[in-house]
Amino acid sequence: MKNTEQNLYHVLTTQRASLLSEWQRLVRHTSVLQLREDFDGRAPDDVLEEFFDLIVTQITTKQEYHLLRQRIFSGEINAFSPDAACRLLIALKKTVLKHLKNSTHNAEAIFDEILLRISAYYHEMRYRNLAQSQSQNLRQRNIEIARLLAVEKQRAAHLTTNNRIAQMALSTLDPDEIFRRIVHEVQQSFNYQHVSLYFVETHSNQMIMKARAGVYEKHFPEGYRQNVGEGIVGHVVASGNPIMANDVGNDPRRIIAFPQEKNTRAELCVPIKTADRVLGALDVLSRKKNGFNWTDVQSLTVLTDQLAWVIHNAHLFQETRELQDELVQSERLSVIGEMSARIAHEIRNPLATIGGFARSLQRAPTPDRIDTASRIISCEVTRLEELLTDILNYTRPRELELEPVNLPDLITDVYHQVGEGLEDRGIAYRQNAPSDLPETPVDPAQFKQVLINVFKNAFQAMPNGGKLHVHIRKKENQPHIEIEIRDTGPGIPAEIQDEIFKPYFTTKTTGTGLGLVISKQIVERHGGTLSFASHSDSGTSIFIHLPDPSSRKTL
Amino acid sequence: MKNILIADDDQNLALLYEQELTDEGYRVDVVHDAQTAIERIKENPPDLLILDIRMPGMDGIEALNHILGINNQLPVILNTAYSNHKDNYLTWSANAYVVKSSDLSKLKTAINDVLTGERS
Repeated sequence: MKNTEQNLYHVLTTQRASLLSEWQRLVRHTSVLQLREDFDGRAPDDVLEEFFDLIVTQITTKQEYHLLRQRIFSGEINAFSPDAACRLLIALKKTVLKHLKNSTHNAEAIFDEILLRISAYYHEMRYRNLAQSQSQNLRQRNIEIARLLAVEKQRAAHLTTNNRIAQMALSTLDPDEIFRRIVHEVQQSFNYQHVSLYFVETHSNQMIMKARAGVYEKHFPEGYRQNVGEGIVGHVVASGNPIMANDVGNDPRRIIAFPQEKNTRAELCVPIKTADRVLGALDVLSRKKNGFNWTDVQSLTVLTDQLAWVIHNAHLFQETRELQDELVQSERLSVIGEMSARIAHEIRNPLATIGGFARSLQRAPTPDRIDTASRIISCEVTRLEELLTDILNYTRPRELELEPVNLPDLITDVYHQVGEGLEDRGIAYRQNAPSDLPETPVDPAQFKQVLINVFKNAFQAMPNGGKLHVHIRKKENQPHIEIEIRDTGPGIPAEIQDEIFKPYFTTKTTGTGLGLVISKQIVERHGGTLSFASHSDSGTSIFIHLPDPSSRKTL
Repeated sequence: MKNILIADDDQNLALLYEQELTDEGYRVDVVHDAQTAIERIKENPPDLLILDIRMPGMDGIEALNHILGINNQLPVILNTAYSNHKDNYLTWSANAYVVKSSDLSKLKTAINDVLTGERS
C-alpha cells in the first residue's frame, strides 16, 4: 500500500504535463454541456486547473501529499460538486493507471477508496445543505406568512371602516345624510366629546359646518361658519396638516364659539384632502387635557381619506349622471330621427296600398279585383296593427302577468301560428325538451310576442328553406332554463352584431326594427337574458334564459 | 305602348301600381330589388323607371347612380314613403320625386309629364 501511494505520488508530481494533456483529451470527448452542468457552470479546464492546484501543484513533499489525502478523506475539500469531483477522479484514475502498469491492483484500490469517501462526503454535504436551506426557506416562508397575515389583518380593519362608510354612501344618495351618519358613527365608536365636519366654500374662503354630533350638538348654530386660517380648524384647512392641541385651553389659535366650549380641554383636527386640494376638516373634541394620542390621529386620517374618497365619488357620480343624461338625450334624438323615417315608411306604404286598392275598387269593383284588394287591404291593416303594438310595447311596456306555463307547448303553439303556410318553404322543425322540465312562470301573451319575433327572424333568414331547431335545456347547477332557437340561415354578419339590439336597427326594409329590442326587454323583465351566437357557416342561435322556478324558491 | 319598370320591394304596393298603370294603358314590369332592376334595364331598357328608395340590399339612391351610369337618358321617377330623401342631392338627378300616397294621380301626372318630355 505504502509503495503504491509513493508511486502514485510520484506519478502525480512528475507526470503533471502528460496528465494534463490526457485530461484535456478526455474532456474534449465529453459533451461540453454535460461537463458545464457537472462543474457548476465552470469550464472544464478551469476545474482541472483547480484540481491540480489542489492535488498536484501544491504537493511538493510527501508530507503534503498525505495531508491532502487526509483532507480528502476527512471531507474537508469540497471545491467541486460531488459529481464533478467523482468524474474528475475517474478520469484521473484512468490516466494514472496507465502510468502505473505494474502495480495496477493496489493503485485502483486506493482510487476506489478515495472516490467512495469523496462521494459519501459530498452526498452527506449535499443533504446537509439541502436540509439547511430548506429549513431556512421554511423559516423565511413562515416569517413572510406572518407578515402577510399582519398586513391582511390591518387591511381587514381598514376595510371594515371603509365598508361601513361605503355602505352609508350607498344607502342614501343625499350627501348631507351621509355626512350626518359618518359624524355620528365616529362620535359613538370613539366616544369623543364632540365631532364636527367642516367643508370649504371656495368662493367665500370660509368653512361651513356640515354635520355635528356630541355634547355641543345644540350649541352650534345651523350653518356655523369660520374663516379659513382662523381657529384650529382654519389652521388645519389652510395648512393641510392635522393639529393635535392637547392643551387647547392655552392654545392661542383657539376660537371659542360659545361659553360652554370652555369645558373642552383638547382638540384634534384632521384635514379632508385629495391629492391637490383640501376639501374640509374633521374636528374632534375631548373634555380631558391630553385626551388625544397618535392613534387617534392615525385612525381619523384613515377616516378622512375615506371621506375624501366618498366626496370624490359623489362628485364623479353626479358628473357621470349628467353625462349619461346628455348621452341618453342625444341618443333619443337620433333614435327619434331614425324612428320618424322608419315610421313614415312603415305607415305610408300600407296606407298607400290600402287607399290605392280601395280607390281602385270604387272605380271598378270587378269580382277578381274585390278578391285581391280585400286580401291585400286586410293584410296591410294587420301590418299597421303590428306596428302600433311594437311601438307601444317599446315605449310603454305592459306589466307582467305571470302564470306557470308549459314552455314546450307554448313554443309549439307559436311555431304553428307563425309558421302557418311555411311548410312549403321547406323548413324542417324540430323541438327537444327534457321530460322533467318544470312549469315556468311567464307572461304568456308577452312571451309569445318574444317567440313570434324570434321565429319570424329565423324564417326570414331562410327564404329557401332550412332547419329550425328549438332546444330547451335545464343545465345542472345553473339557475336558469335555456331555450335555444337555431336556424340554418346565413348567420348575422360580424359587422352588425353589435347593432342588432339597438332600437330601430333592421336589415329588412319592412318592420320597425324594434322586434329584438322588445323581445330582449320582455325577457329581461322576466329576470332572464336574451343573447345570440352566430356563425356564417352554421346559422344563428338565439338563446333565451329564463330563471329556473325550482332554483328561485331557494332564494 | 310605353314600357314602365317598377322597382319596389313592397309587393302589395307594386301590385297596386301594376294594376293601376296597366289600366292607364302602359305595359308594366315589376321587380322587387335594385339589383334585378339594373339587370332588367341592361337587357331590355324600359321607357321609364319608377324606383323605390328603401329596398333590401342596394337602396334606390345607390341604384339610381348605377342606372344613370348605364343609361343616362332613362327617365326615372323616385317614389318613396319618406319626403326627406329630397334633401339628399343624389336624388336630384331623378326626373321626378313623388311621395307615396293612396292617391296615385300625382304619380300618374309625373309619369305622363316625364314621358311627354315636360320636366316636373
